[in-house]
Amino acid sequence: MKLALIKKYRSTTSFHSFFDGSLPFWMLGIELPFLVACSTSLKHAAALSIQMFCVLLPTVFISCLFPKKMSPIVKNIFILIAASTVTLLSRQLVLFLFPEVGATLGVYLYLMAFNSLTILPAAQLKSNLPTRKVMGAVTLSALTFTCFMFVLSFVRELIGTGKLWGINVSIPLRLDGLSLSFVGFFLLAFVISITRVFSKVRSTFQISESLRKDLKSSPK
Amino acid sequence: MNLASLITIVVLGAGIENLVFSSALGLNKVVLDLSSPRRIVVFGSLFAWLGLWVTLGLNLLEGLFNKQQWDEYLFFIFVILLTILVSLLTNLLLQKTTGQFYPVLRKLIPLTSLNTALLGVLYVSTQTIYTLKRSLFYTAWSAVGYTLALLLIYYGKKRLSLSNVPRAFRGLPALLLYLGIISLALYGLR
Repeated sequence: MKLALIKKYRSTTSFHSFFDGSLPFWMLGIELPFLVACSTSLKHAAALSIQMFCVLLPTVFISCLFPKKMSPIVKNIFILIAASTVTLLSRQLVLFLFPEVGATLGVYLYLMAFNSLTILPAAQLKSNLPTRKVMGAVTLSALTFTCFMFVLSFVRELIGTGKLWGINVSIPLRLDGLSLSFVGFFLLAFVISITRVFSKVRSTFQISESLRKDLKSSPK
Repeated sequence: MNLASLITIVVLGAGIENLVFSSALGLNKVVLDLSSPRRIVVFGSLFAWLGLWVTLGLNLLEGLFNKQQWDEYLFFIFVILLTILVSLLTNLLLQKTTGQFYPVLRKLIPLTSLNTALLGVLYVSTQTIYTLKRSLFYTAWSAVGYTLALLLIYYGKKRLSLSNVPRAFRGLPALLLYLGIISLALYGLR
C-alpha cells in the first residue's frame, strides 16, 4: 500500500476539511449571536471583527498560562475577568474607529466578553494541545468569523438598505426584509452550504489533478 | 403588577422576545451539543437560578446610584462581579447538597455563567423593565423560554439527523433553517 500517496492526498484535503465542518473549530468561528443579529452593515462587521481579535487573542493567551490542574470554576472566573477587561478596552478602540456603531450595536459590544470562542479554547483545548497550536486554531476561527461576518454584512447592507459602508449604491433589487434578524439564520445557512459545495468541488478537483500527475510520472 | 402586565411579560420573555429566536443569544457549540432533554432542563434551571440572583443583586445595586450615574459601564462591571460571586456560591452549594450529581452539575455552571444569553436577559430586565418584581419575573420567564428553545432545537436536530437532507445542508445549515423558520413565525406575532 502506498502510504506516501495517502499522506499527500490527506494534506491536499486537510485545508478543505476545515471548511467542511469536520474540524470543531470551524463551528466555533460561527458565533451565532453576532452573525445573525449584527451582520447588517459592513461597519458592524469591521467593528465586531476588530473587537473579536482584540478580545480573543489576549484572553486565550492569558488562559493558556494557567496551570493545568487549576479548578475549572476558578479558571472560568479568571477567563471572565480577563475577557471583561479586554472587552472594555477594545470597546473604546472600536468606538474611536467607528463612533456611529455605539448606538446601533449597543450591548453586543459587551457581549464579546461572553462569546464562546473566548471561553471554549481555554476550557477544552489546553489540556491536549500546546499553546502555539491553541493560538493558531483560535486565530483561524476568528478569521472564519471575520469572513462570514463580512460576507453576510455585504449582502444584507447592499440588498437590504441599498448602501455599502454607509454610501448609497444604486442596485436594481432591494429587499428591506434582509435587515431583520431572523433572515440572518437563513442567509448564514445558505452561505455555509455554498462554502461546503465550493470546497468539495475544489478538493475533488485537486485530488483528481494530483492523481493525474502521479499517473503521468509513474513508470509504465 | 396586574394580570395583564404579567401575561405581557410571560409572552415577551418566553415567546416573542425569546433569547434564541429573536437574536440567537445563548447559542454556542457546547450548548447546542447538550446530549439529553434532562441535561437541558437542568441547564435551564441553573440558568434561571443564576439569572434571578444576579437580577436581584443588580436591582439592589442600581438603587444605590443616581439615574445619571448608572450607565452601561457600571452595569457591565456589576454583572461580571455578581456573576462571579453567584457562580462561586452556587458551586459551593451544589458541592454540599447534590452529592453524586455534582460532577455533572459542575460542568454546567461555567456554561450558564459564561453565556451570551445571561447578559442579554440581564440587560433587558434591568435596563428596560424597571421594578424589581417585573425584572425577576421577566428573567424567570426568559429562562423558561430559553430552555424550551433548547429543547426544540434538541428534538429538531434529532428529526433532522433522521431525515433525508441534501448533503450541502446537512448538520448546521439545516438546523439554522429550522431556527429561521421558527423565529420567522414568532416575528409574525409582533
